[in-house]
Amino acid sequence: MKPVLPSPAMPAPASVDRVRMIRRSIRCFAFGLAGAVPLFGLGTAFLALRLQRELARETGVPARAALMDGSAVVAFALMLMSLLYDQAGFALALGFLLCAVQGYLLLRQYRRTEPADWNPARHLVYWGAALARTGLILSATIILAGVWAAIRDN
Amino acid sequence: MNFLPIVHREMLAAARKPMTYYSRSLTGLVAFATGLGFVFAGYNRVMTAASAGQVAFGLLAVGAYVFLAAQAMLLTCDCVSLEKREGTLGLLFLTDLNGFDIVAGKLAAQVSRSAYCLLAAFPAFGFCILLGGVGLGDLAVVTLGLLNTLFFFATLGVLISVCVWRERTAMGWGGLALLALGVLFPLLGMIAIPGLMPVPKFLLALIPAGALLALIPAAGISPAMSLLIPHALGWLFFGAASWLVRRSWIPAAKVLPPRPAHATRQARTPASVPTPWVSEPANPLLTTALLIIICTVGLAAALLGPRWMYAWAMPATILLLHSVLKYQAASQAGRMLAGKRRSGELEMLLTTPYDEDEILRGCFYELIRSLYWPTLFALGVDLTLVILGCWKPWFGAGLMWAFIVAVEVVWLLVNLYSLSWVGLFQGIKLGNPAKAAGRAIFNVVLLPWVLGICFAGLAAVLAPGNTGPEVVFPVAVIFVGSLTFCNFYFAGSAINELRDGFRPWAARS
Repeated sequence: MKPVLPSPAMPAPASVDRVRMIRRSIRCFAFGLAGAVPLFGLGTAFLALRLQRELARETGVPARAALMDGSAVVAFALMLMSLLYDQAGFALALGFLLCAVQGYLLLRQYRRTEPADWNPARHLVYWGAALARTGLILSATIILAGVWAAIRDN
Repeated sequence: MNFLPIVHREMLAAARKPMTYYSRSLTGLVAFATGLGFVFAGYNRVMTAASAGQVAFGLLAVGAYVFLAAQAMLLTCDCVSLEKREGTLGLLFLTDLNGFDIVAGKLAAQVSRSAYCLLAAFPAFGFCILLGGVGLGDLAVVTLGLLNTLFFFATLGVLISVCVWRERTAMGWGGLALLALGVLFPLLGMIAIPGLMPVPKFLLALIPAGALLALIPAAGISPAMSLLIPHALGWLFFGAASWLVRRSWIPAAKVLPPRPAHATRQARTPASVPTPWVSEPANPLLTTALLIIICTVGLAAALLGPRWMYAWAMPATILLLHSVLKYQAASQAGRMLAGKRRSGELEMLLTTPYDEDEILRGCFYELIRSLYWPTLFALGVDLTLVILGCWKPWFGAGLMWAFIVAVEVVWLLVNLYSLSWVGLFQGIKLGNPAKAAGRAIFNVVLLPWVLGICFAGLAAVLAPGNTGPEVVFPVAVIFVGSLTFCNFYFAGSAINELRDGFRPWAARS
């Protein structure tokens, strides 16, 4: 017989393994710290950012990486343009500015968002991401400068 | 029944694997980048067109030879023994299949990917003919020689796999055969060709590398014989494997030796580390023997040989010693969790008070234990060679030599660490020790070189004819970046996956 009223849906089991989450947060920070070293830390920087994304998805933080990624793309395009016009100093300044902008955006995201699941090591995730992004920007600047030098002297 | 039903089935399965396509594309890309780089070097007068063609041809041929020999042996040396251990080989004999069908199927399954990679790389050899210095006859000999290499080492691997039961024994014999027939014999041949050592040249016709050596004008080896004899030997191995596979299949309990007792070792390990249950008992005897042989030959060549041999022997000894250690680390790590996962032992271990961290710590403890003395031995040899290099008066920049060796030693330690983690992860993920070791070696050791070659090719296209520091420096920076990226990314990723997903991976049947 078909029931008249729909059966109440069971609430989704919101069981987050907090120990695992804290460990992953600490690991994200460790990877980010190693990723801050230009060139040598490229691999761990990518891992730190991957962990940050996964943790954000787990804890229910809305992903707002578009602004950060967009600013990075614009900054690198400007950097490339300035290198093409032999403005290496301007490109370097843009690199530092990009680091500052990314840091500010991360800080804003940290303060304004509230995760659905409490993560006591949340600050470590943001520190890890900030360090990893710094390392990536430095590595990209060095590589860009190297390629520019090769093309210019040719 | 169809003709060769297992071959048919395995080829269909291989056609559906994404890795078949990725590896083929990657090999084609690397070969294309190498060839294109030399085309630009040749047409922009960095070197003469003919010498650019010859160098590119030699590089591609040697690279393809090493790749094919290693891949064929690594993939086949545990393919039948795995079925024997799991007890599925006997089931195949309940059907109409015979030994020939099974061996041919295994061979097709393991070799098809390498053959596709070789096919993808062939067009790059055409660049060398365009540049000159290489004829169509050379191309034909190298092509047949490379196909022969693949067939020879794959059949030898299957024969080894048919004859043994345990994966460690299979990989040990496979590695030994590869080192002896794939590396040491050709090296001896290269020394023998200028007439420096009394090595009978007919011996070189017995190995597949003889076809490549036959292209050297002073070699005096007949290309036809150096193609025919290894090919015939390959068919001999194939026939022997087909004949033996039916006879070597007996219940595992009667053949497998009992697991050695670990009581004494357990007394020495920390109480919280479940080493004996986690890992296969390590036996570094074979590795140590290999290291001693390489070190003796290298030191003898460095001390007694002429000047040119001295300059080549020292770096070659160091690189060979380090390569053996890397292979040992990858294979040891790869088989540590693979068999346990397949048999369900790992899942049972997780029902005990031990957690995944303790199991991983146990694995690492065992890895360090098995690699400790071989690594110390290799480092001792490195130190001796550094002192020798600084002592020989003509060796010029002794300090530079010491610096290069120091960088190589640091890189060895980083590689061993990364290979251990990646091998452990691939072992638990794939459940096949040979595949795990192969993938770990590819990701950590070979992939950075692939990326480096691609970037070098790109630089040759962007800045044709320029070999100044302004081109070399960015390429070097990108190469170092790719080396560190591959090491740390894959190691970090493996640590991440093992710590977070150990239980789900262990529970996979």
